[in-house]
Amino acid sequence: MSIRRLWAILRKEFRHILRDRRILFMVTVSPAIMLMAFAYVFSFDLNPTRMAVFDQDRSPHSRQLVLALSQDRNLIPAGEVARYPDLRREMQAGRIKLGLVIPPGFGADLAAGRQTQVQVLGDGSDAINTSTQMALLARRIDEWSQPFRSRALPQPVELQAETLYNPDIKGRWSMVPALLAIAMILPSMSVALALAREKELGSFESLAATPVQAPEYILGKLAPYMVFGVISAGLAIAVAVLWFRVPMRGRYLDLMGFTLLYLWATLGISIFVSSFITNQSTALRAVLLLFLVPSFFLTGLIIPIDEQARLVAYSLPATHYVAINRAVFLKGLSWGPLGFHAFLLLAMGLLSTVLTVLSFRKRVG
Amino acid sequence: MTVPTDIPAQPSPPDQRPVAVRVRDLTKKFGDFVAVDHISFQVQVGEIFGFLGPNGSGKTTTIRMLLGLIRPTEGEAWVLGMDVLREPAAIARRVGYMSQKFSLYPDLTGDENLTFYGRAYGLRGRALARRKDEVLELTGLSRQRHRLAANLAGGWQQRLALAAAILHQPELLFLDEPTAGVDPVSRRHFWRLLYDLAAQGTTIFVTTHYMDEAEQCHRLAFIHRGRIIALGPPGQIKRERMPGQVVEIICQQPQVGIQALREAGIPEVALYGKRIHAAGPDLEARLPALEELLRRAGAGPITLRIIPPSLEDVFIANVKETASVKETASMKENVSDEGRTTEDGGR
Repeated sequence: MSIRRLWAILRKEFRHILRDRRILFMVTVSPAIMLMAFAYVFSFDLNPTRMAVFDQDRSPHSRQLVLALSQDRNLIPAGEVARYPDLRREMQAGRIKLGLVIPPGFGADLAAGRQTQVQVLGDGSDAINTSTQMALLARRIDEWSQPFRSRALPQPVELQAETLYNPDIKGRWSMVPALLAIAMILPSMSVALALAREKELGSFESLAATPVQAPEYILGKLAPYMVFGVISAGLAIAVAVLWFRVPMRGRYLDLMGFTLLYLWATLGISIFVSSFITNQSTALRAVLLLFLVPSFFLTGLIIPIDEQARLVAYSLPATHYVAINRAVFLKGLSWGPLGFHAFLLLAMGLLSTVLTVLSFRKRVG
Repeated sequence: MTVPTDIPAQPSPPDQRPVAVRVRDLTKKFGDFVAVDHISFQVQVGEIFGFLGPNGSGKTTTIRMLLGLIRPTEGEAWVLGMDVLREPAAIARRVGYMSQKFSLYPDLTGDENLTFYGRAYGLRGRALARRKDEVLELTGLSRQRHRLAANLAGGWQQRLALAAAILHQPELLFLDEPTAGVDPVSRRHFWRLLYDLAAQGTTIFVTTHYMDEAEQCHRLAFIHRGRIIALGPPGQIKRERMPGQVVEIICQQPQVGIQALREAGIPEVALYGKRIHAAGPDLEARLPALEELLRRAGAGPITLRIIPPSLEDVFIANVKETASVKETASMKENVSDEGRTTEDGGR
């Protein structure tokens, strides 16, 4: 490993990028443009949602209500909490999307023919799904309370709904941060194309005959695309905040740190895969199949993560970046609660880079 | 440059010059296809060694093995005294390589390409700037140095690639078909550069399928279907490896002549422009009979004369010969026998 040779490759790589307008476009403004396009496109569906209950009443009536709701296929019971703040904490951590609060005297009121109420908390950072679920939950509670209905009491249980993080339930608030994960795949596509292009041109063969070593070559490719990745992420984040008016409740510095990890993971995997590919069209297809397509459907971007596909979802960098971005933008979370996702991204970046260096022989022909 | 010491003991003539490349039974298989088949040869320090053969005969594969870019299936090779399997990195620092296809970066200027390659070999600062000036001067590219490589004409691109390959002053230069697709004037200029480099002590290993270029090498290996079928200085190969003589025939109806000669069982008949080259054993004695044959066939007024064989004549004859030997005897034995005799006789 020679720093001087690494430096030589870095400088050359920057020249390539700055000289080719298409590549320069791809690694700077195109993620922001892609984000704008996608943010307008998506519309959504209903999915099973985890709900926790804070039952202050503990009467037969309150238990019946909880039992009845747990029969609904769209609600996954996530247990009971003992204190109200626990409910908010669970939601903050992303373990639940809905919370049900049953007040003391709930059962007694119903038995006496008086109107009572429950409170429903929804996670507005996953806006589309949450709002639909809350409407559905309201209907289920209404249905359950039918037996207590009378002329004097048209609505036995009144529902107080509160959406956290995104009170007006703006779809864009939750979609735009998540779509950043898609937009930031473009640098990976560029690096895969750059590697394949060097092989197509035959330049790789000449380079392989020089004393340049695998780690120098790989880091020399990785670093420039990280730099441009961060620049383009900055532009895309600016679009999210200034154009789509997504509130930024966390710290920009944290977001850039997470972005760097995401870029390392995606670029690293992309370089690893491309090191086995010798032409640009295959490289392009590989990146599309590896990142773009699964990132849309498996990462919780549009539909929540399927329990059966959780392992696959977690092996995709976008899964973590989607979760991180929604949490940083809308919940204002930082490294502590997002450590798990950050760690997995770091592991992917590190592992893919080490694997590339180890498996990388100066292959030609 | 010292004589390599890690080479297994082998009877060698006392006047042996230092060896730049030594290859023994080198073989590369891609699946069932044998690209290079048990070749053995040596390249002496300071010589221009030509590797002559048609496309697909194993020239590039051999060079790639010598550079450590692909692993040999069998056999051994030493470059500058170092084992290609064990010390590819050390070899890379001391050799230069110009691949078959123009492989510099088209989106960088000549100067930028040289800067990059210079740095890849550890040059920097003033030393790098001085070497760039030197190689640009040598290759006549000084005025074109700030043009994008993509915009240089073919011959200039070859020179730029050569400049990049010699920037770090390699002791040994591998050139893979360096003049393919380049006009004759540029080719001649390029070969003059090679002679200059050789005169300064650089060993040159060059592949080509141009016969005129092969004639200019100090020593040659004919390679055909992965096997070396002749080895030695061009003059010696022409003297010793031609089975029989070559007759040049000028007549009015060359097509008729060719037809008649083939029917008469002359082994080698080929048309060069308007002249027929016929080759075979004892043709000198049969000249009057041939003349008679052609006259009767109606080829018109005829001139016949025995000429020294060209490399192409020798190459074609040897390709035919090995092909026919293949049917009767073990090919491998034949090739290694040839290699040994020619090599010994060459010194």
